Amino acid sequence: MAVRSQPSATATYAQAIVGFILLLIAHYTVRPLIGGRAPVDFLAIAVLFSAVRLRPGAAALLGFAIGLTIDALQPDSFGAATLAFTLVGYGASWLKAVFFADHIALTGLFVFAGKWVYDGVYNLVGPRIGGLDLVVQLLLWTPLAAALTALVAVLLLMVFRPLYRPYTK
Amino acid sequence: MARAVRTANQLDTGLLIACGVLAAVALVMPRWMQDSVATAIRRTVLAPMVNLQQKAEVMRMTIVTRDSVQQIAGAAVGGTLTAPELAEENAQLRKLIGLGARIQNGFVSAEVLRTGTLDREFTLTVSAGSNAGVELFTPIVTADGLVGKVVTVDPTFSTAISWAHPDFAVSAMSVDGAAFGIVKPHLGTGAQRWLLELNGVPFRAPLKLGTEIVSSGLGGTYPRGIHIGTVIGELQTTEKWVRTYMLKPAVLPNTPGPVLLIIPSRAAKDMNGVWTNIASSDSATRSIVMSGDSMAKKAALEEIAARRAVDSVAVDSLRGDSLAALGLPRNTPLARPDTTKRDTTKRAKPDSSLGKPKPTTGPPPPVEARAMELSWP
Repeated sequence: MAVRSQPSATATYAQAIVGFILLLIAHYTVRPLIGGRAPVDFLAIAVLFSAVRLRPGAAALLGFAIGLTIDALQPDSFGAATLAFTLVGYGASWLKAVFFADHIALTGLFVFAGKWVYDGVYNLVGPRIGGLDLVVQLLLWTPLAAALTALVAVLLLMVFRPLYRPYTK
Repeated sequence: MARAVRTANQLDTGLLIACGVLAAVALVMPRWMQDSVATAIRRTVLAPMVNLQQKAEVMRMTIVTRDSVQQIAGAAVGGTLTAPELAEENAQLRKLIGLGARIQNGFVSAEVLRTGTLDREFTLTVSAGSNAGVELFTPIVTADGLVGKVVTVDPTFSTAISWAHPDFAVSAMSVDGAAFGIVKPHLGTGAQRWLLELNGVPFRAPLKLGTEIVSSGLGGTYPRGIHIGTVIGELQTTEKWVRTYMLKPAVLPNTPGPVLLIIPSRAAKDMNGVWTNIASSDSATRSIVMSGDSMAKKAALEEIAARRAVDSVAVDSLRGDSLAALGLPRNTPLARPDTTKRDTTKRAKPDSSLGKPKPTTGPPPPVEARAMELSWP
């Protein structure tokens, strides 16, 4: 009977880095092509997939860096994405024990929740919207964007399994 | 072992707190500091990604445009002789070209790369940056009027806020200069969010519905005369000494397409009359029609005068022939004895038709041709 060997730590990290860079590029190339009111957030997927491989502190740092790059393109709400991704990165890494089973549906739920939390924090501290607009944003557009992002995350996990599978012991 | 785990946990918590504090600091930093940090990141670490994003967006616009062109071509093949969408696009482009000609060389044309999305409803990115001469606070306009102003400038693109952004404000006046005020977005809910307010209008300067509002040029950011919107009603406020009016904006902020960026160092300070409005175009049309009518009237009068002249020449000719037949010189006065006295005394009457210069005896020009000459100076 063939035994599936566990890849080395170096190979795992190399794959993770390649997967991260691919998602980063997809965010700036594929996302603008799709457009729409509820766009896919490849950076959220990248942060969440990376966070489950990192310690919470490192995940928070990664979220901080990614959030800063988002804020650099949105001078209107500078700092909001940084704060949101810092919290999401730390939280995702802290909760990774729940998702170590590499379950597809759980991963989708995980990405959905992560993206919703990110958008929620971002909209609450970032752009100056309020009242009915904020409610519509949080209860309509944000869940739609989160669902789309989760769907794409699940597809990515199924198609590029070696890159995004969380090897946890 | 337990100590190592505790240290690692403390390190994680410390990193979280540090990142959280830094993010909070970024949120409350002064605007100029935020802009400088954002600009530094965009121009260094993020530059390749921004470049990729721009190309992807241009590609998307190309695809979208191609679809519409194919639709138009399909409609044309289907035997449709009228293409309203194409005509409308042509009209918009003609208006923009006309606007460019009126502004002369004080502008840079650009494309709106991305209008408001999920989290950026009131900002937009335009495909012209400092390499093209764009500066901070450069006004963005279309053929219809004011769109917004640039808030960050990069070498190849700029970020701008539209008139719907809460930070937007422009000093404005009515077209006739009777009333001045400050135009800001109307921060209402629903559809009213996409209206403007004209605040601070003196109580003794009421504005009628339909009055067009343009920039006043005060403050230096926006040149005088850019069309902003039209008065659609007065708002009741607690400030009884000033009036506040609701405006319908001249340009919808989510309208994609070509825009012009007015470069302050090259553009004229006063752009009055650059944005043609409905009233002026109507009056221009009326004046052209009236001119055409008056020319037709004048041509008809000239035609009558010419016929009279032809008749009088024929009479003169007949008279000369008769005198020659009698052996008298051609300038011999031909008059009946009983009218000689009256004729000699009244010959120099100023209102006599013979005293006036005679028009040419050729046929008068067609009325339509004269009217066309007036229409196309």
